[in-house]
Amino acid sequence: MKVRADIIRTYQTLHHWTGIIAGFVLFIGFYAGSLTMFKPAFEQWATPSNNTFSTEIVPEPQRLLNAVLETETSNIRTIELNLERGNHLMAPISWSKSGIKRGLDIDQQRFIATFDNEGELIKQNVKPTVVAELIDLLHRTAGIPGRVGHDDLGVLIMGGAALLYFLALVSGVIFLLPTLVKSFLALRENKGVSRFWLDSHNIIGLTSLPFHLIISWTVVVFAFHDIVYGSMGQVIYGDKPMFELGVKDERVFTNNDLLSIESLNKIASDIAPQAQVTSMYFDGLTTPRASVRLDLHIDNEVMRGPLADMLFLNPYSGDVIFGSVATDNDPIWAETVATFFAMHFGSYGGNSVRWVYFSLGIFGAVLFYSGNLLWIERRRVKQNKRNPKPLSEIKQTKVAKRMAAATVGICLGSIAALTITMLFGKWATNILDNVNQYYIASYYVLFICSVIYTFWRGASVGAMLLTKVIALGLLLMPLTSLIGWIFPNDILWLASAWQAWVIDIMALIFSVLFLFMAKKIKHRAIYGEPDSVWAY
Amino acid sequence: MSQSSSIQKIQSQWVSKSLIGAILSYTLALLLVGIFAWQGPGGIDASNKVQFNMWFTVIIWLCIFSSVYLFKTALRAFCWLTVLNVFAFSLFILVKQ
Repeated sequence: MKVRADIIRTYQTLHHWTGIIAGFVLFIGFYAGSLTMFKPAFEQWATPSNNTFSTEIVPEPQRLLNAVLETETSNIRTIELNLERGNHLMAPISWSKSGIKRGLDIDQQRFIATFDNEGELIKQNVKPTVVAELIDLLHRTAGIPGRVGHDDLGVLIMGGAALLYFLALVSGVIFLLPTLVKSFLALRENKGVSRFWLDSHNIIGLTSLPFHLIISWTVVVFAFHDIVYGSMGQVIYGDKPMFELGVKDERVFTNNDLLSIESLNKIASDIAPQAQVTSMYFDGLTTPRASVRLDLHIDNEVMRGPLADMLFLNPYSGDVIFGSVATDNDPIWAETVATFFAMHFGSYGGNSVRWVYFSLGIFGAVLFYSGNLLWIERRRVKQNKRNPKPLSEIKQTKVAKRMAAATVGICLGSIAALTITMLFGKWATNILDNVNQYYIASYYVLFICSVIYTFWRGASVGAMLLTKVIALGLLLMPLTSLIGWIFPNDILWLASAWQAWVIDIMALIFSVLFLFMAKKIKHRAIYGEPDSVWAY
Repeated sequence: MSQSSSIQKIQSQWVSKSLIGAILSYTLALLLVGIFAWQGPGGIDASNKVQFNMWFTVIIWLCIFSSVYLFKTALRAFCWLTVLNVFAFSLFILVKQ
């Protein structure tokens, strides 16, 4: 296909600059996003076995709920009730008197409970781990702190990065078009390192293009939906109400007025007959804003949330507040929108799609990393062409050096910081009073140290150290679980859920990968082109 | 030949084209979706349609935004998008009544 040369040049420049500006943030968003596919598994991995009650047996839910409401004389705000065997929740029932904040709450406390063998209620006070929320926070904000209005600054920056990323995708495709047929799927190993990197970059980019377009679109929506709704209200809707406001129920209820589990299930099965209610989440109980969220699992179907579809009901009257499944008065819109969410969350084909999304996310991170490296190499080549010198006299420009250091320090530094923080969390959970308070500090200290070190010692030395640190940290994760299993003690443990073992196995696999990477980096530093940023 | 092609080459004008892309393609996307909101299936009162409309405003915006660099000059981009905006706005006012 022929495309005019000036169009190609324009879009090439656009691709380079949007990629360079957005690459760092997107790298963290992507690798952390891959991990969020298995948030419940990370929670299970980090939760001591004496802080959970098995969900392998589901006690009769109504009796369990009644027993909890009877023993707790004061008002309970939030209750999470499990209805599915082997669910990811930490106990058959859990609750909080003050309510549960969304997102990362380091002071969170909950009660968990179940019936013992005699049918007596046993309960325990626990501090749920924030490790999965930390991963989620990195995914959404790239770790950029601060707030603007009621939005996270990091989310807005991520939205801006996603916008540039959309431009980078379109422009990347445009300037690849002329050589597409010839070089697509060509992985030339014998034409020099940078050609190999470029080929890998193009293969990954093109083969996963639909995924990347969807992700960039959804992230822009997640970040800026308030602004878009605002302008839609101004321009399109005017006086027309945009959202149906539910009739506010002014009646005051007590928890004795709660509808039975059976009748709540009945409402759900009337709306979505094929769905299975896997858990119920009561919130704002005894307040006028009381709601119960029924998580509806429809196997191998498109679900709006990362783990389930949802149906919000008034727990006293049974009125539907909101649902993400099709209802009679809304045949398509909610379900279509649910599809967009599902395409971001990968919640439309069970765990197989989650694994596909995990891989796409990791490859996405590789895309940004390799993109940055290609840009740096290109600058070097350009510079040499302009001003030919013998290799020994060529010096890297400051810009190229700093860019390389930033790429290594931020990308690998973030992974190293998260790995060590998770490891630290597992070792410290049973030693410290509330390990949750140290997670964030640990991540940021390690991250900043990594960046400073890489700028100080240069990209090549920094990359060697950081890949080794990551490999070691990942190796220690399964070893930690192994120690807890072989020598049972009060500090370490092997999680009882098999999902947590998958984390350990994956950590081991990635540890080997990072070790391999470390070897390659060292080899390149010694034997590679001496004028490269990767040389010693 | 060579002279005429050099005259017609795309000028980068990154800042002005990006601004035009950010603002004028957003208003155009909003107006196009506005037409769909009032006249498309279900009309303006269809329940939950507003969410769909919001999602579509964003994707249309992004698509027009990414094509704005094809215009030879920022001025041309500005004129074309203004014309399209005016056209879409008139149609929007028309269908709203």
